[in-house]
Amino acid sequence: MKGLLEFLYKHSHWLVFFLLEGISLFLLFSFNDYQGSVWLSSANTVSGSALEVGQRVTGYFGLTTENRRLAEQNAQLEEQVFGLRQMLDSMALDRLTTLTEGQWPFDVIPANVVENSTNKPDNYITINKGTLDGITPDMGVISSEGVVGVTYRCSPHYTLLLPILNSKSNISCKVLPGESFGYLEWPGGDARLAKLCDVPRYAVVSVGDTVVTSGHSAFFPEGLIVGIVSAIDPSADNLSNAIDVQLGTPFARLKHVFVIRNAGAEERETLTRMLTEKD
Amino acid sequence: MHTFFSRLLNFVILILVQVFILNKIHLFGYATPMLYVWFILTLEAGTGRNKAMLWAFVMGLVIDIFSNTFGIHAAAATLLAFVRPSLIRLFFIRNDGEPFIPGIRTMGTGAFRGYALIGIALHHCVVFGLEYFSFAHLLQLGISIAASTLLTLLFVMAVERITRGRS
Repeated sequence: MKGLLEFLYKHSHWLVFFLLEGISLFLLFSFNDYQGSVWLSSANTVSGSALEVGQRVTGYFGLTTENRRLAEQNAQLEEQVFGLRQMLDSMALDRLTTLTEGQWPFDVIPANVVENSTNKPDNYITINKGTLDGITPDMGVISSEGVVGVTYRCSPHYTLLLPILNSKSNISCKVLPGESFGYLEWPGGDARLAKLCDVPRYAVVSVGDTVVTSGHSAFFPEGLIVGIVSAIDPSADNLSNAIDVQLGTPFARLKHVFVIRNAGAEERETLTRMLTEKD
Repeated sequence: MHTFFSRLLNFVILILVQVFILNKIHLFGYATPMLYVWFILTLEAGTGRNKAMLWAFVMGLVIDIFSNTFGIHAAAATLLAFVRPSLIRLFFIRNDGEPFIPGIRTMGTGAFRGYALIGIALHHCVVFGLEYFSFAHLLQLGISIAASTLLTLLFVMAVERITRGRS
């Protein structure tokens, strides 16, 4: 017995080593299975607020370009409002149809990026809004320049996003003039390029076409800009085309994003919950 | 006690520098310096393995939490702390058996550089290996490991020289 204890003590570093490595690998491989593991990410309150302070400091760098971009965007929106107002006026006669076409079921929650990476095989983004602001997992997230990704894990004040630049991201898209569908994947590497897979070979697609969200999922409304077709090559199985998409969202300098809340999705959820509660 | 607090201070400063500055560096899209390993490399040579591994594990875990890597850095740092005593012995043997802090001044530039290089390379192999977790991008993986190792070594040697090089 004494010999055994002595042996264990002498080799305790092996035990500690395997224990700590076990914990690390368990954390790594179980992250996707537990909602609770959000506490071990940058979306927890302590690291989230620390990163937010850092973001506030570094946020001052490049303020000039940010301002110019916002001014440009403002002008564009102004232009759009003007155009829409004119359109509305011209449709005043059949107002009935525009009214019955109903409300836009989506509303938008603005948020700031707190932590972001673009160089890993699986990137995550942390934003400074959480469940207290009405965010839940599986909501679409966009920037002023294109689609960013989907909310993944939420804590009360912070949310972890699954951006396009993550191998788990999988967003249904279509290429505009021909309306051919595919899903967007990120092969890794360049943060400005993604691949639109499973586009049928007969689909007419040319370089420079716009890629937008398809509206097939409840995350995104139809027609949000994702990027622009930059190259077309046949996929390995020769049955479909894989299209290189130049992403609209500048992930490397992403600061402001908008989370899209789909009121329709909530309604659907409460409906199912009501139904299951009745049983 | 004094050494504990100065060690803790080093620990916090290195984590802050790593998380807020160095994590944002991606030289040529491949190389990210991970200066925080300097803390593990320069723990006193007499430190027990278990103690060193615990420090390294906690440090790695904090880095993980801030950079959304879920245990990758904790695993790599623990491994580095585990093999550290053997690595030191490989490059430097102190005849009088006195405990010392591994560094340029105690080991000499060449020996410390060799020790740091092997340690950093091992640590980075684990970090990038777990990050990619496939051999599909073998070239990318190799370049990332090599480039980051060199950059981290550069940072470690620079910081070592600035803080402890002269006496």
